Formats: sequence, structure tokens, C-alpha cells
Amino acid sequence: MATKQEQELDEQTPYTDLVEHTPKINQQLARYGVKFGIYKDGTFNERLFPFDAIPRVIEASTWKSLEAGLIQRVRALNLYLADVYGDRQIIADGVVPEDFAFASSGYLPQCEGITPPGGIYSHISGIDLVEGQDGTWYVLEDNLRIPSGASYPLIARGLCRRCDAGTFRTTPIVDNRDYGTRLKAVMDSVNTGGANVILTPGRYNAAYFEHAYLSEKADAILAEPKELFVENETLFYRDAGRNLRVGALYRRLSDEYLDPLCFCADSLIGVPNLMSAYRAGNVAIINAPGNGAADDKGIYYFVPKMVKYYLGEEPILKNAPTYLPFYPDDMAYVQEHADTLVIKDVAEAGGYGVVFGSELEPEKLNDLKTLIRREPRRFIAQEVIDFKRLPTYIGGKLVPRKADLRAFVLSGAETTVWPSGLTRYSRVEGSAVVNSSQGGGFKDTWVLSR
Amino acid sequence: MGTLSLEKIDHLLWLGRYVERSYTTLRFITVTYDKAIDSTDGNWKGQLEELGFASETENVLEFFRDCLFNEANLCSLAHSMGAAYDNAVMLRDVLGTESLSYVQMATDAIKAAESSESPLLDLQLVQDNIMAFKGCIDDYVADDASRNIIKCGISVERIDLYARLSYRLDSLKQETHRLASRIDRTGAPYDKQAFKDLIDIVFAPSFPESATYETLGKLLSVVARIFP
Repeated sequence: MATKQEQELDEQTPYTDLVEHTPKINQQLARYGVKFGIYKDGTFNERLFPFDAIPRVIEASTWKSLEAGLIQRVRALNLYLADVYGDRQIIADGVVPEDFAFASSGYLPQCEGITPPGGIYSHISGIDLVEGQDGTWYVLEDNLRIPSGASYPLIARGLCRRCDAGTFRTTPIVDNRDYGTRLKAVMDSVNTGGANVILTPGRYNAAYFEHAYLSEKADAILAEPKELFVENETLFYRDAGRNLRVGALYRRLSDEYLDPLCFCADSLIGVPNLMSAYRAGNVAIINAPGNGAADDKGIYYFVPKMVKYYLGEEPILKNAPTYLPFYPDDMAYVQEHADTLVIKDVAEAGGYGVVFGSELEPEKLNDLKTLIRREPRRFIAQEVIDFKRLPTYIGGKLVPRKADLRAFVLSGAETTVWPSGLTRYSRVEGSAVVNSSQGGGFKDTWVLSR
Repeated sequence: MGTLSLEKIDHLLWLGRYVERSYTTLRFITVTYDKAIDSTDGNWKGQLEELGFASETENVLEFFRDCLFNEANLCSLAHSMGAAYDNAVMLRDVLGTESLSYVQMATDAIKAAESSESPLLDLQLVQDNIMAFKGCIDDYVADDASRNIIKCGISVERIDLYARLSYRLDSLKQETHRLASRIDRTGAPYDKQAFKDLIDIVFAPSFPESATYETLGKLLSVVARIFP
């Protein structure tokens, strides 16, 4: 006899035909090299990214609201970036404290005064959301530097359609397989004249599969840094026949490594003088260098305020309730309730530097509270969102697992949201850490058209 | 010619070479293994020693496992296929995901066969996937130059291996013809003098009947110079 939990999961899982195909789909994903790299103890390993065929399904009405909220949020973030590297009006008006705007490690003085082609800073924004138990969606994080993950549901969708045509015939699922076309449109819209290139640090990068796959889908050249050079403030691809001018560069390496003459001098994977070509307006860099100024975990707190400030609108999407120990009232609250909060180190990413107060021994908790008092700018604290668990097929049975959603917002000639997204789930019961680097898996995200 | 950097040309060329090396190495290992079953003269390693397999072991199974699966052995099947994969994975935008998948499957098949009780049967999948890859690039790689560079790599490797093994030397004329028909369609830089020297050797009236070790040594050095 089925347990109550099993019955609930069955009710939530209308697409059971897909479940039985999960092992075969994973085999196909292995065939196509769908992997991510991970460094552990100084050694590089490639791992398959476990796929669960039971999708996250988002109703049309919910998606409409999410879509509007995501576009609104990214518009505000782009305006903030233009402002913080330009007139700094939002700081002069006291909406974002100077301490937060400029102390962020993602803020790059080298980018001050540069207006990127098309005036767009964040072309590909990965916004991480979770759905609470009551159906409310919360933004957990904005990723405006080099958010990855679109390629996984993109390739998985084609395989799912092959093995369960019936479900796709009878369910009004919006097709998500145009991501490459959308990416190309973004690159074309800001291209300053020349080829579209995706710059990868190389095959030992964690997201190398994605770099290579997207270059194929967006019809862009995949290049490593050594294949690019700058001459007369113009970026070129070192073609064997002739040098080819580059008009749009979708770079998949971090700001600090981009140009050794501008950022980290010891970077071996950068393109010398790239920033001079960018500064001269001769190449669009996607996403713009310096975007870390707006996706810092500390700046996150201010995004709803940015929406009101720049757009004069009420934010459609909610932040998770967040406290900044920088403010005395918030510090007092965090000190008192640290055992129920999740504490995040603003300098960390990829699921690292996240601590649940409830999981710490009293002594460790006290140490953390002391550290927060000593370095208040370094941490934020959030209420723990009890986010919805999704039915997941693990070990031959359906089990509930916590999952988030990374939505992709593309800003070019217009700002649109890709009608899909990367749903990442934790493979460990009860855990809220869904990052692939921490052993998480992924699901496709179906947006229904009606 | 599409847009290809020297790095990509290099990867394409070596992809072709390592794919062919894997294919031919596996064939030789299979044939030699079969002969070893009946061997009574102690010379059961056969031409594998000429391919560079220098393992000291006299244990037949251990020797063949080393030839097949020891990645640290630069002559092994696993090493060659791994090197083919290392080059292919840099070329997804040129080859396409479909073509690349056959290299991936050939590589995976070797790993799977390593724990099999009948590895040589299971390794048939490696040959199948290599053949599928060769067919697939004709359909899926739109850029004529890229296709031709891979095929030139295959031809160069085949000439090199056959010369080293003194195997089917009569087929080298045909392989050189193939190379000649493609090499100028690659757009890749190559040593024209070395290629002319290759033609002179292979199409000499006395070749292959009177080919000496010295002739074959010269042929090997010429082949190595074609794509610097």
C-alpha cells in the first residue's frame, strides 16, 4: 500500500510516462557529452549532470507574472549598472549606500565611464528563484556575470520529446529549443561589426560543454583566448587565412582574467588590450565587465528599491526576507535570530559560503556571530524559505526533493525571458543546496502556453 | 574555407590522425591476439612491438590488456582514443554535437570494455563508432575544408602506420592519391616539398616491390613533415 507521501507525489506527477525513460535519457546525455567539470583536491574531473525527467511545470498565468517580474528586475539592474558606472545618481539620492555600491568586489573602477554598445550591461541574466510552499515565488540571487545552465534543459528537451511524443502532443508546452536563436539575436543586436565569438577559458572549465554547445546553436565561433588578439583597439580572431574582426564577444571567463593589462596581471587566459577595444566601442562584451557591482549578495537587498527608483513601479517579484548586518537594527535581529537564519558570505558563489544557523553547534554559531559583528559588510542573513519540493525519480522510486529555478532573461533589441529555465534539485533528502558542484541534478522546466 | 584558426586546424588534423590510429591499432591488436592463441614459437607479440608496445611482460593477457587499456602507454588504444577525444571536444562548433557523439561513444566503449570479460568482443563498438564518425562528418560537417583536414589526417596516419608495419604497402599509392585530391582543399598550410617527396617515393616504379628499410624510413620522415 502506498504511503501518504507516495500518494502525494503521484498526484503531482502527471507525466509518469517520462519517468520510465529517465535512464535512457541519461544515457543519451552521456553520449552527447553533457558534463560539467569540477576540481577536487587539485584534480579536474568531468561528471555527468544527473537529469530527472519529471519536469518542473509552470502554468501559463504564473509564467506571465514571473516573466513580467523578471523583465522588470533586469531592466532595473541594467539601469543601476549604467548609473553606478556613470552619474551615480542612486547613490547621491541615498537609495544605495556608497559603502555597498563601491565596496563590492564586483565593482570595477576600470569600467567607470564606459558605455557598452547598445547601452546594455547584462545581456544574459540568470535569476535564481524558488517557489515557497504557498506558491509565492522569491528571487534568491541575481547572476549578471556569466550565468550558466541554459544548455542543459535545451538539450534535454529534444531527448524527452523523442521518447514521449504523446505527452508533448497533448500538453501545451512552449518550445524552448530556440535558445540559440535568441542568443544569436542578442549578439547581433549589439555587434559592432564583425563575427560573433564565444570565448571559453578552455576545456577544463566547469561549464565547457555549455560554451561549446551554445557556440554550435548560436552559430558563433568558439575561441580560446590564444585565438584572439587586439590591434588598433580592435579585437580579431586569428584565422589561418585572414584575421577576422570580432564584433560581439560572449565571454565565459571572469572579469579578473579578461585582460591582463587591465585586471589581474598574471592572468594567462586573458586577451591583452581587450578592454581598450571595448572602451573604444569597437566590440561588445557579453556580459559587460563590472556587472558584479549589481549581483553582489549585498546589493541584492537593494534591488526592489532600484525597481521603484528607476522605473517608478512596485516590484513584481519578491526578495527572500533579507537582513544586512551593516544596519544596526538588522545586526541586532541577526544576532538574536542567527540560529533560524541562513547566513551568506557575499564574496562566495556556487553554493559555498552558505551556512544554516540551525545546523551549527552553539560554539560555532557564536563564532559566526562574532565574525558578523567584526565584518558586517561581508555577510547577509535571510529567512529560510521552505521551498517547494518536486517529485524526483531517484533510486527507482519517486521522492520529494528541493529545487530552485534559474530563469534566463535576454536583453538585446528587447528584453525577453526564455520560456524555460534550469531547474536544479538536491539529490540529498532535506537539503536545500542544489548546485551541480555540490552534487545536484537538473530537470527541464516546462512553461505551459494555456 | 570557413573560419578556422591554426589551433583548430591542428585539432582537426590530429583528430583524424588519432581516430585512424585507434582504428588501426585495434585491428592489429585483434589480429595479433588471434594469432597468439595458436602461437608456439614465443613470438606472439608479433607486429605490436613495431607499433611501439614495449611491455616486458610475457603474460599474454596482461600484455594485451596493456595494449588496449593502459592510458599511460602512449601506444595503447585507450591513449589514442583519449587523444582523439581531447581534440574532438575542442571542435564541437565545427563538427557538431552529432558527429562528436560518435567519438564520445567510442571513448566510453573502451572504458566499458575494460571491465568486461570479453573485451575484444565489446570493443567492436569502438570500431563501429569510429566508422560512424567517419560517415557522419560527411553529412554533418558543412565546411568542406574542415572535413578535408580530418580526412588528410586520416590519410597521413594510415600512410605512417602502414609504412612502419610494412603493411599493405601496395595500398599507399591509393592513399597518396586520396591525400593529393584533398590537401589543397583544406586551406591549411602544409609543406609542399615534403608532399612532393612523398609522391616521388610512393610512385617510384620500384615501390613497393623493392622498398628497403631505408626507403620506408625516408617515407616516414617525409610524412612527418607534411603538416608541420
